[in-house]
Amino acid sequence: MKRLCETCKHHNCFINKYCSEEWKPIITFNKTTTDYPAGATIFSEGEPVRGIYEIYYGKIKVVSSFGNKKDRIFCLLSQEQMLGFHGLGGNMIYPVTAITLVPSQVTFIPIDIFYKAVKANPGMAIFLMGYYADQLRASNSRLKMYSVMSAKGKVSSALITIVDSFGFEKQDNTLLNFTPSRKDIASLAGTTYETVIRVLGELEKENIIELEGKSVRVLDLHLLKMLAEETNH
Amino acid sequence: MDCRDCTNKKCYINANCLNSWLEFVEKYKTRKLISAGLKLFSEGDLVTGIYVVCSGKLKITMKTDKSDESIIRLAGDGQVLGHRGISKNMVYPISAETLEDSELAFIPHEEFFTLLRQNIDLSFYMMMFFADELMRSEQKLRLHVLKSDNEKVASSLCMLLDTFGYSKEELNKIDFAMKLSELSNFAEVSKSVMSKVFKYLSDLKIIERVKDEIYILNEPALRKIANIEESL
Repeated sequence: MKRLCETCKHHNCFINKYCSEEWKPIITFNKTTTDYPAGATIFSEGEPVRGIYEIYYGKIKVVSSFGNKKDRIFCLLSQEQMLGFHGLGGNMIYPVTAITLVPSQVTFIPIDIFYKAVKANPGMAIFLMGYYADQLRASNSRLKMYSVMSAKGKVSSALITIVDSFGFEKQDNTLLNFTPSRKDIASLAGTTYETVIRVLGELEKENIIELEGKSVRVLDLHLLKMLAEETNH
Repeated sequence: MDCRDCTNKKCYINANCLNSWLEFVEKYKTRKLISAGLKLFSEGDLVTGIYVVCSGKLKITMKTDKSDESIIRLAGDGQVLGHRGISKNMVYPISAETLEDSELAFIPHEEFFTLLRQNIDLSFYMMMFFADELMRSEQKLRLHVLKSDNEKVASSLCMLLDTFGYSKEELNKIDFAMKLSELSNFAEVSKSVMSKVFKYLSDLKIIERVKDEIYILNEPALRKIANIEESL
């Protein structure tokens, strides 16, 4: 049984938010929804772009292989967010790979339908433009991060990205809702596994974070943000 | 230039707005004539609108260190400028500086968004433009992280070509002469490495360099070295 966009309660989904009521049934008719287990690949680098994805629930990392070298995580995405927007434009080939971190349900909308929807709903085009603008900004700051930041700044910045992407636990508002593996944190920060371990230890010693097994608790978000922006130097 | 009888069809406003809306643009835009080597806006300045490059050439730079400025993009005729300012926090994350005498049109935010809402071609164009920019920005990131010197120089030449195109007067010439120091900044290599790679590419008859002018003799070979897919 297909879920209907017309009656969907996910009000932050860009389809729900920016499509007119007349358009929602068209999306419903053309979309397909797939369940993925954790660790599954949704699309891979080098594949042609056939459409756009919307995450119904789950958590996903978007990585680039960077040739033969280490993977770099470009962004982390969760429920009600758009996926696959990196492929749009240019030659319409995915420059990135999307992998699920936890079991996820993802909806696919074919590219021609997506284009038509954008052209028929001006609000959507403007929203997407703003969305890309933010992504571009994030991309620029990554450039900055890789070139000049200290290890501590990089890891702090990665932690802030995780907070921004997944937030905190509902009942426990300092514990990260989802802590990626240390290896994933390293590829998000653009540094090595060993450095992540070392810096996390340092941050714990300074009472900025607390490590609870695999999970991370943020004790001083403000200070962490300052470190991430390296404004204290 | 009056938007209503502008002949620059490369301009994204001209190409994507209905004729009746060009009058609106004409009414609200501010025209700016700026000579070479001047800053149009700087990192940290407040964003109040968006620019169109009517004619001329500009470089977009970002401070990567206290002393270092790295060129992250080049903009030519008819292109969008200052779009990195469109975001929640309304300050420019980059600076823009003219490379030659340029004419710019400035459209305030409010009017630009009215234009977007009323001209679906324009909003669609802007979306795809941003998608391209994002892809290019990520490519630049890769460039930074892992490419060899040859790849870095070749891909920066390709980007130069994609932005400015070939000269109308002379065969194979890139329509812009850039100083070696600026080119090497854009490619993220040192000046001496830049000269070395230029010599290497010239020996292979892929490019030719006469003073500051660059001629591309074998574009497919250059793109192959750059290893980035042909964009646009």
